[in-house]
Amino acid sequence: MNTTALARPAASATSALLKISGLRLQLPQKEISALETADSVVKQDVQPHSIGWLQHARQRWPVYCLSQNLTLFDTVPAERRACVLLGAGNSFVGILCDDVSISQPSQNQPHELPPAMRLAQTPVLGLVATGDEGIACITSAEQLIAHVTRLAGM
Amino acid sequence: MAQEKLSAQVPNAWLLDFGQSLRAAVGARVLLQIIDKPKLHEVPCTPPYCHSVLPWQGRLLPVMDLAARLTGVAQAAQYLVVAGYQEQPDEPVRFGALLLSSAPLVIAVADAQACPLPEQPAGWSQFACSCFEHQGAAIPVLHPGWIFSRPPEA
Repeated sequence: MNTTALARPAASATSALLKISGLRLQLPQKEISALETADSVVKQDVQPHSIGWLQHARQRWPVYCLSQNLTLFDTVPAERRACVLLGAGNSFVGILCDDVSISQPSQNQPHELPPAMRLAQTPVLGLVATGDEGIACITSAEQLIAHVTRLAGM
Repeated sequence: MAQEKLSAQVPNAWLLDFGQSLRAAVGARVLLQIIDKPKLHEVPCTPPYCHSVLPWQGRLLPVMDLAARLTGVAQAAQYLVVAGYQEQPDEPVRFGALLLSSAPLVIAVADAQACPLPEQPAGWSQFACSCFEHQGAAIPVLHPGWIFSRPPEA
């Protein structure tokens, strides 16, 4: 399955919000290389701990299903309907999401992750309050790819 | 002498109950607000004793379960208190939140009540800068900066 590149807006500061159960992850939109439906993920010849793969730039890239605690799921909940292909350098990883939305830069001030919560290898770079009295965890494609790669033991 | 007796009677500390017979105190000016049944937000990839944040006055405060930190067993928390502290006198005030098993009590403490920290649980010395005797029990005096501004141990 070949992926479809997202249109790149002129303003690079737009953010993507990935919804994974009760978790919302915010990262720069430019770090999302493609957006597909979960049905587009090929489920043959899968790598350990991944749930399938997508083809992008003439290579297969593993797709993972994460819980809202950012642990790996081996089975896919029904609500994971979308798949984003994250890119950092020459590495790509697919992540299943319930929903993906694109937003302009938030007026809300980003907060550093408090020191007492900062584990050494956390992919969470900071927090930001969202308009609906919730929060989003600020991350990056590089951090998420490193996180799932560690979890998958690759 | 009369002046000393009078000052010793003025409430100058909050007695905090973390459940599991764990109690500690902070100075009267440290506690800024007591919150019943607050709405907290979970943050993934954080320590089990400090895994959520409290939206408070435009900030996102780390929520610490000190019982879980000291014993590994989470408390059945009923209340949350917001603490304000400075690392140094000329630094800005920082904030954090502590889970409590019952409502805090105001008490009066005098220098004559000073005593050694309890030997158990062993971790008190990481968070308490002194200790006093109160109704037959040793009550550690917490240093909020040591609780909230230090990263988790590796």
